[in-house]
Amino acid sequence: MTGSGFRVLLPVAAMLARGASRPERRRRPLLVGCSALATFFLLGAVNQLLIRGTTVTQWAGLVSEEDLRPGTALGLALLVVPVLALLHQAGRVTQAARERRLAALRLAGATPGDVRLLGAVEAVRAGTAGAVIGSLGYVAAQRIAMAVLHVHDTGRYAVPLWPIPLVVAVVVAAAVVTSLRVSRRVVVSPVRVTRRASRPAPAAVTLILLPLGVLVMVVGGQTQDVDKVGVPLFYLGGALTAVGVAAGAGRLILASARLAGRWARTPETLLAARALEADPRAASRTMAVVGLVVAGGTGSAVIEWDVLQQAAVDHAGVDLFWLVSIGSTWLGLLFALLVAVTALVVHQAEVLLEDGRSTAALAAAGVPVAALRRTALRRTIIAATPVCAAAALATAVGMAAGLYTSASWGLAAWMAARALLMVAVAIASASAVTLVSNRFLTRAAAPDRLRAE
Amino acid sequence: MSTPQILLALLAERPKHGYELKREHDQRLPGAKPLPYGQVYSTLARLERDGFVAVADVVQEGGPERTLYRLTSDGSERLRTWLAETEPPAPYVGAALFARVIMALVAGGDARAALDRQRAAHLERMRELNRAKTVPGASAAEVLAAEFALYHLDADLRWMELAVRRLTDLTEEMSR
Amino acid sequence: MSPLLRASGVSKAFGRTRALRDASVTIGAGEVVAVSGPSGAGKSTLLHCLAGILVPDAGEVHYGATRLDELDENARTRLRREAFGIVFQFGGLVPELTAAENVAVPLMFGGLSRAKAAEAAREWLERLGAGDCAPLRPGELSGGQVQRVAVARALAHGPEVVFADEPTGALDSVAGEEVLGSLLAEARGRGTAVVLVTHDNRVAAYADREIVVRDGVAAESPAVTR
Repeated sequence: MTGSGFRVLLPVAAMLARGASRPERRRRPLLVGCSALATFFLLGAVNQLLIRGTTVTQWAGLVSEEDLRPGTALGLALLVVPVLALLHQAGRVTQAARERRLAALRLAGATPGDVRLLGAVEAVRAGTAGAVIGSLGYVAAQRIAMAVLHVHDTGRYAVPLWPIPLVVAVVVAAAVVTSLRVSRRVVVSPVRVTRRASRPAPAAVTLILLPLGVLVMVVGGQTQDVDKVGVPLFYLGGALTAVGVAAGAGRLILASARLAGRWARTPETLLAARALEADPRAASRTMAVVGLVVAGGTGSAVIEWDVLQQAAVDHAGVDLFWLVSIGSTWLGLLFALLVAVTALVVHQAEVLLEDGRSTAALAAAGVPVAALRRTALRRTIIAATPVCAAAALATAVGMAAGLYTSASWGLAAWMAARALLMVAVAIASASAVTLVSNRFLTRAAAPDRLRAE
Repeated sequence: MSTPQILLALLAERPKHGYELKREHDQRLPGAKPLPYGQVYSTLARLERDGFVAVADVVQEGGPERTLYRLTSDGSERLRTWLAETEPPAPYVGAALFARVIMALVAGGDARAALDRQRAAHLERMRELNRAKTVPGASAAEVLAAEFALYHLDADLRWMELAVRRLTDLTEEMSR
Repeated sequence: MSPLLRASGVSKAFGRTRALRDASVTIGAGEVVAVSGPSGAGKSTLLHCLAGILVPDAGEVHYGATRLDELDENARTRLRREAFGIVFQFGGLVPELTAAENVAVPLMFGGLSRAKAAEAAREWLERLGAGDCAPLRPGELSGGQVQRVAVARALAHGPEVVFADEPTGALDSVAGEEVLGSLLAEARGRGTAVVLVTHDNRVAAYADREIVVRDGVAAESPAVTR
C-alpha cells in the first residue's frame, strides 16, 4: 500500500480497530479519557489567563484577582503532567501485541511511514474524541458552577469560544506525538520485533538538577532584594527541583534496585530488584509523578504553617480564602496522585503482559502466586521509596530554608512530619494499587500462557 | 553397491593390497555390510582388466606374497566422474514398507495396528542406534553411520504418521 | 517397576475443544517416557495434567499415594516446587536474572539461603557445561545455552520427575541432542523419571518407552515383536 495514502490507510485503520484484542480495546477509553482530562485542565488554564480585572471576593481570590490568576493557571496546567504520564503509559500497555500486529503489516508490504501513519490515525481518532468531550465538559461544568454559585458577571469569566479549537489541536497533537514516540521501535523491521530497547542505564548526571534546584531555592530565599531577585530565584529553584525529581527518578530507582539486589535475602526481593535494574525508566515514568505529588504536598506544608501561625497570632479562625486555596491544592494533589496511581496499574499490566511467559513458567515451576504478588509489591516499594524520599527531602529543605531566615523547631517538626506523611501516603497508595492490580498477575501466571505462540 | 568405485577411491591415497582395502572399507563404512574377501579380488581383477588399476608391486614380508595395486590415469578419471555424479534420489527402505501397508489395506488387514507395530519396531531400532552412537569412544565414522540410519528411519516414521492421518482417504479409495 | 505417576481416564477440554479424552498412562520411577504425536494432539495438555499444572475435568492423577487432581492449588504448587522439575521449549527463563540467578531463585523459594542457592546453581551450570553462562542474562545466551540453564533449573532441587515440553523444539539437531543428552544423563544418573513431550521421532528414540497421543487419546506403543 506504499504511497496509496489515506484512501487505503483509513479502512486499514478501521480494520485494525475492529480486530483489536481485549486489552487493546480497553486501552482506547483510557486514551479518550486522558485526552478529555488534558483538554479540561488546559482550557481551565487558558480561561484563567483570559479573564481581565479584579473583583474582591471573600474566598474566590484565586480566580477573581488579577495577580493570583497566573498561579492558578500554572496549577491547572501542571495537572496535565500526570495525565500525560498516564497517556504515555496507556500507549505502552499493549505495545507488544500491537508491535506484532504492525510488524505483520510491514511483512504484508506496508512501509515504515505507512505504519507510523496508522498509529497517528488511531491517535487522532482517540485524541479528537477525548478533546471534544473535554471541551464540552469544561463549558458545561463552568456554566453549572457559575449558576450554582450565583455569579452575576458570567460574561467576564466564561471561556470564549476561540481558544477551544486551539486547545483541541494542542491535545490531539500531544496524543499523536505520544503515539509516535511509543511506536518508534515498531518500524525497524518487518520480521523481528525488538522486545526491549537497549537504552543505556540512566546516568548519574540526571541527578544534578535536584540539589541544584534546592540550592537555588535557598539562595533565592536568603537574598536581600526579595521582590526583584529573591522571588524569581525561588520559583526557578522550585521548578528546577520539580524537573529534577522527574529527571532523576530513573537513576534513583536504579541505585535503589542495585542496592536491593545486592542485599536481597529472599527470592521475591531479588526478582523485584533485578526487574527494576533491567528497566528503571519504565518504573520511573509513573514514580516521577508520585514523587511530584509528594513534593507538592510537602511544599504546601510551609504555607499552611504560615497561615496557621498567622491565625494563632490574630486569635481568629483561618481566613476563608486560605481554606479554599489550600483545599484546592489538596484536591489537585489528590487528583494527581489518583492519576499517577492509575498509571501505575496500567504499568503493572504492561509488565505482566510483556513478561507473561516467564511469569507463567515460574508459576508452573512451583512458585506460588502469592510469592509473585509479593514480588510485585516489593518492586513498587523499591521504586517508590527513594523517589518519594528524595522529593520530600528536597522540597522540605528548599522551602523551609528558602522562605524563612529564622527556622523554628516547630516549623522543622511540622515539615518533617508532613514529609514523612506524604512519603507514607504515596508509598501506601502505590502499594495498595499494586495489590489491586494483581488480577493481571493471576492471569499472567495461568498455564495457558505457557503455550507457544 | 558401488564396490568398484569405493575401491578406486580407497586407492587414491596410495597403492594398497587387497587385505588392506577390505579392512579400510569396513572401517570407513561401519554401517554397511562387511566386504567379503573374495569380492575384493574379483573386483580388483575386473578393474585391472578394464585398465582402471594396475599392479604396482609384489612384496613379500615373511608371509605370503602380496600384490600392491595402484590407480591408473583412467582409474583416476573414472573416480572423478563417479564422484561428480549425483546419487539418483530413490526411495530407501520405504519400498518394502510401502508395499506392506498398501497390501494390508488391499487384503483388508488392520493397517493402523500394523503401522503402530511398525512404529514400535522402528523406534526400538532407533534406540539401539542412539545407544551405539552415545557409547563412549564411538568413532566419528560410527556416529555418522548411525545418524545416517537414524535419519532414514525417522523419514519412514514421518511417512507412517502421514499414512495414519490419510488412512481414511486411502481406505475409501481402496474399497471403491 | 513401581508406578510413580499414574493417570487414569483423564479428560480435559478448553471451551469446546476436547484436548484430552480418557487418557490413561503410567510412569515408573526413574523411567524416561516419550509422549509423542502430531502437533495439537493434546501432548502438552497431558503433560500439564500429569505435572499438576492443570486439573483435569474428569479422571484421576496419582503421584505415589497422592491424588494430584484433588489437591488445592497451594498443595499442587508446593508439590511442583519440591518433587517436579519443568523444562519448556523456549526456556521460560526470567529475562532480568542472570543464568545463575535463574537456577538459584527456585532453590531460594524452596527455603535455601541466597549464598547456598548461588553455590548450588553454579555447580549445576558447570555440570551441564554452561558454567561460562553463569553471569550472563538469557538475552545474551544462544538457544542451546538457554536450554541448558533451563535443564539446570529443573534438576537443581533434586526432583523425582522432570517434565520436558519440546525441550529441543527451538534448537537445531546437534544442539538439541547435546541438551537432551545432558538432561537424560543427569536424570538417569540419579534415578529421576523424565516425561518428554516431543513431536520429533529422533528425540522420542532417546526414551525407554513411548506414549502416542492422537486426537486427545493416549496409547502405549505396542510391544516389539521380531
